[in-house]
Amino acid sequence: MTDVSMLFEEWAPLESPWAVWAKPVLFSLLDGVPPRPLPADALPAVDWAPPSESGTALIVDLPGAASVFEGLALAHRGYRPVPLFNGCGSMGAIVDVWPIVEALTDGIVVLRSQGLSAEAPPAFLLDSQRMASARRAEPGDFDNRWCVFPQDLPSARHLLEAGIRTVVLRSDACQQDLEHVLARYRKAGVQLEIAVPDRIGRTPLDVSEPTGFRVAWQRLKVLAGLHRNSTGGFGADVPDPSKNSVLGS
Amino acid sequence: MNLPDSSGGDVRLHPIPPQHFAEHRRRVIFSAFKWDPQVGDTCTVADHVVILRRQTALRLHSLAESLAEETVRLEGALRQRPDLHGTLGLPGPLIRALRRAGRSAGQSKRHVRVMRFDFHPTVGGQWVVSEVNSDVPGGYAEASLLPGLAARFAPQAEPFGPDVGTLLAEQICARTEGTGAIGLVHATSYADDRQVMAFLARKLTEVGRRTALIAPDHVRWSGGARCIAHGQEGELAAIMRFFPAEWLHHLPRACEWHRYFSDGIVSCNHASVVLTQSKRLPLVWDQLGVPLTSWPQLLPETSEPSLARINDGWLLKPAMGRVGQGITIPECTTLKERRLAALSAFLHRRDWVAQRRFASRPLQVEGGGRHLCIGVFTVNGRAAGFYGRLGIAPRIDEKAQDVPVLVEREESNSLGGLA
Repeated sequence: MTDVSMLFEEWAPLESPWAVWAKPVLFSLLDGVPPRPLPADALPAVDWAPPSESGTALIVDLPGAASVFEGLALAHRGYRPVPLFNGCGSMGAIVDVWPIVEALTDGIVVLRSQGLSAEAPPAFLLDSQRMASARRAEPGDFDNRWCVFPQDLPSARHLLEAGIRTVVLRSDACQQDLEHVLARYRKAGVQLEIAVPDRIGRTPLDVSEPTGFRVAWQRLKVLAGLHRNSTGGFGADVPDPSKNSVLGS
Repeated sequence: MNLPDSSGGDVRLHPIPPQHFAEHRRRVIFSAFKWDPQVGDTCTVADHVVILRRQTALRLHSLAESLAEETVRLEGALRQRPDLHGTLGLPGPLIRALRRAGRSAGQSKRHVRVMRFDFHPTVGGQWVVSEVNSDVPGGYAEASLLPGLAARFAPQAEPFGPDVGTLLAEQICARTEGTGAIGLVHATSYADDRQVMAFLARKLTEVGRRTALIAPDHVRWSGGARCIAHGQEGELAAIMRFFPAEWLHHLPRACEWHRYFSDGIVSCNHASVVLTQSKRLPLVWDQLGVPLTSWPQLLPETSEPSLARINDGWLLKPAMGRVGQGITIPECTTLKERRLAALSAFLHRRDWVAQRRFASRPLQVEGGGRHLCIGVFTVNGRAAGFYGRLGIAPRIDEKAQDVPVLVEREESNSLGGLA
């Protein structure tokens, strides 16, 4: 096996039943760079997380590498961080994935030291900047914005069968793509909570069913790829100088 | 025509030992560019290997080459018949782009032509073809690399024929001159599209070509084709497209998407092949004056959608559908979905086609049956490899599993007793 697959195995060990959902895309960008030790203060406090024996799964939706660091801190609490980052990398990319790649590389030292059990419940890691990077898109940019689909996570039925009764979202707010996932969870009887950074504790999360939820045409649209924007991305169109003159002429 | 028998002796599933499967899956991910190994609760990497009789493999390749030859002739005839393009269900902007490009555009031999024909074993004992993926067929990496990874699990079988990735790279290389990069055009936000292009980039690099992995609007057309993607700027020698032709008209007009339909650059595939991507192709082929042998024999009866036929051994397919989406097989769709499809077909007849349903023959494995689809690629008319997919239900869709297809070694007389 290559270094890449060995590193992936650190994050998605064969013995973990949640590892099959880990996304390999960013790991394919790794190039044998050895991990560096993380600064002592890199990992945040995660007092908001319930005990790992409480039948709870977590979804961490924070910006970039912060999501990885939160996941590593949660490993201290007995959760299995499962990276779901599904954006590609390239020069000129709208969403900068390299800090995530570096954090995934450096984080394996922390993961190895945890000795997580196969029964550790999952903490799914997402990049909250996946659809709306702070940077303005320009012609020639590489549109690597991405979104989460229900099929990127376990079904509600699978969670319940695994003894998961509650899902806690760690984020400022529930993004629209995640609403499609969480609404399905709620409908199946999974309790939803949110833990907002800079606020103490958790509160119930009320997810409204997005427009089109349960509508067959929505499913057809997603499968047909009609949700993609004109250039294969998800966000707004990349401006083109020939139709959006910056000189105002 | 002598069709290959699928009554049970010519194809079987061979299990991958459970203790090796997790490691095999990991190899498939990183050695075979399988970056979408899980869809919901379904693992999309099969824990079996398909083993074909050599005679069957040869016959499927022969049929695919015959189908490819007929398809190219249908394309040529359709280019001369713009009056039929609307019947195919093509969007209006595409019809206008085809007209603007002229009747000879796409006809040139310098373009590389790749297709994939999907074969299914049936209860009746024969193989049928459900469709051709004529525009942007997927499965290059899976067909090229999975057999080699899985061969150790079935020592009495081996990979078969040229692999499609190598053949594609060689053909593109042979048709391009100069030092320009090969533009690998795809929907950049999608890891499952990116993995296809990453594989082809490796194959093209192996034959000495530079590549640019780009979005369709990264191409500028003044004086040939030029790439404007940051870090990959420069002339393009050819375009390998993995972005469906029928989506091109959603691009900004300023990027001159209609130029994909012109003959300005070596293309694989040229965008005009969308003419035979439409599932409504059989509805017009009688009007084209092209003698056909393989297509009518292998494709189930196809008709205009009609409400009377939906529940009577027929199913509906979207005219421009992909990956099994929207096909109204009862075991795979709800009644509500089928009714919605029927309503849509009633309101928008040209977006759909009706096809007589065939009885897919499930292959028996422990725990039930699996439905098999074997895609056979052709590159410039030559068959290349097999792309196997397995489904629990008869519809092969995004939850189907990729399965390696091997062919029994010449010295093997029987498929039984494999280790």
